[in-house]
Amino acid sequence: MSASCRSLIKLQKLRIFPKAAQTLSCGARVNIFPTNQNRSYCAEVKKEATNEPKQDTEDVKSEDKRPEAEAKRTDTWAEAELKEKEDKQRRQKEADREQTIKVEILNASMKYVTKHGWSKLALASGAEDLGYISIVSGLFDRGGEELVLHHIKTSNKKLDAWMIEEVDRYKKAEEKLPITKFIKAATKQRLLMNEEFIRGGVWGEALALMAKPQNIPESVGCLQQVCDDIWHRAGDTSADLNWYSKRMLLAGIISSTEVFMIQDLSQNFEETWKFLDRRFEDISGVPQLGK
Amino acid sequence: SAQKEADTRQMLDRMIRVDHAGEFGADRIYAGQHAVLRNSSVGDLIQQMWDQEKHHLATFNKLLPEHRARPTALLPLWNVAGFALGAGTALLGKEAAMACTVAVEASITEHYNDQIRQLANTDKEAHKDLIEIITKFRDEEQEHHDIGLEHDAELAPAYQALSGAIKVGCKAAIWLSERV
Repeated sequence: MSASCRSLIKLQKLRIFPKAAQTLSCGARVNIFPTNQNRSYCAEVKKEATNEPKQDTEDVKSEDKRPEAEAKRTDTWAEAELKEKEDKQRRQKEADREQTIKVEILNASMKYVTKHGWSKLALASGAEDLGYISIVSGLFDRGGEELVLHHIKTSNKKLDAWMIEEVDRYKKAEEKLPITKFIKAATKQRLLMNEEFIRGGVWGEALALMAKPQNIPESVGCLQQVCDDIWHRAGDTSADLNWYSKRMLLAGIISSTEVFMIQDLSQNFEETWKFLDRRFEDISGVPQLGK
Repeated sequence: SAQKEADTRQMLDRMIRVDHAGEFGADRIYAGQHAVLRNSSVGDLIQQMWDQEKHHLATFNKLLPEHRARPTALLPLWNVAGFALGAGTALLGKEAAMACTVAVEASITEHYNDQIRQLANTDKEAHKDLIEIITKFRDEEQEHHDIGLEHDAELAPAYQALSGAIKVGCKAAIWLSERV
């Protein structure tokens, strides 16, 4: 036995390279193929070697075997590929199903937030409403923060739908869209979506949760998204640095007004709207905005 | 498939951003070359190529808000660097200016080819318009490349070094603009 064979058997005993050891047991000449294919190929070769009588010369036999073995080998690969694709589809479907369930639970938990705060208890109550056991709230590893994010994201989507309607309304009336007025109205609309939680005294907690370092990327991303949506619907076509200044100024206005709104006790949030007007006045001096 | 949509959005966002940055840079390079060589024998030629680049830039200025892509934050940098590159190579002589054109256009052609391949592999039908536009621009950039070679680009001083350095710079600019 050669030195390499001996070392491979040693490795087999140590269970370090079991695949290399299998190669050895099939015969050293086939160790250029990937292992599972290797084994089936070896199986085919062994079967053909035992079944057919050794009448013809070795050369002719090996050439006959090769195209058949070749075809069988391709089938095994095609099968493996198909199986992989089906696996991937199955995993995707499961992930989608889990996502749908999570969204249902989040929607159902919203009404418990003023009672229980942004917490797993609210999630558990929502889950129980839908007929799941309360431990399903463990699906949400960040707990209440996922509720806040869900509220923010659904509000942003609602705002986008509202803005599309507004733009359509102006288009039907064949009026030019008044940019500042539209942006102010959109901001008001978006801030009012938090009203229920502000009156319930839990929005401050929500903002604090969103300011945690591990949540900042996602919450800032949502703010960026809403500013981009508002400017896009307002008809912004800037292709230079104005793109950035417009959105950053709007982001500043929205976030400062949101914080002001938490402590506003006036009727219909009048003080907040006055604060918002003052913020818009502040930036009206910036020439690039071209409002 | 929500993931696939998000991936496509990111791919398109990056493509339009980097193409816009590229045409903006090319516009500035030709501006720099024209500023120095406007009264020389290649002045008119540079003007012609510059006009085509201006058309490219205008197209991407329109495509950017259409696809809701974000322009690169490095635009002021490309503004200065492009003009400096154009003017700098023009000051080395008109062959060097042509060499710069050849190097930049070669980079851009290769980059557009990669993009066309990527778009066609993702979804040829959905991105048909964009593929058409990029193909047309790639052909025009290839033309500029050939014009540069015709006009003695290879006679420029230190042609290989100059060309190599510019190509590396273009690759770096493309990588940065895709992300920043």
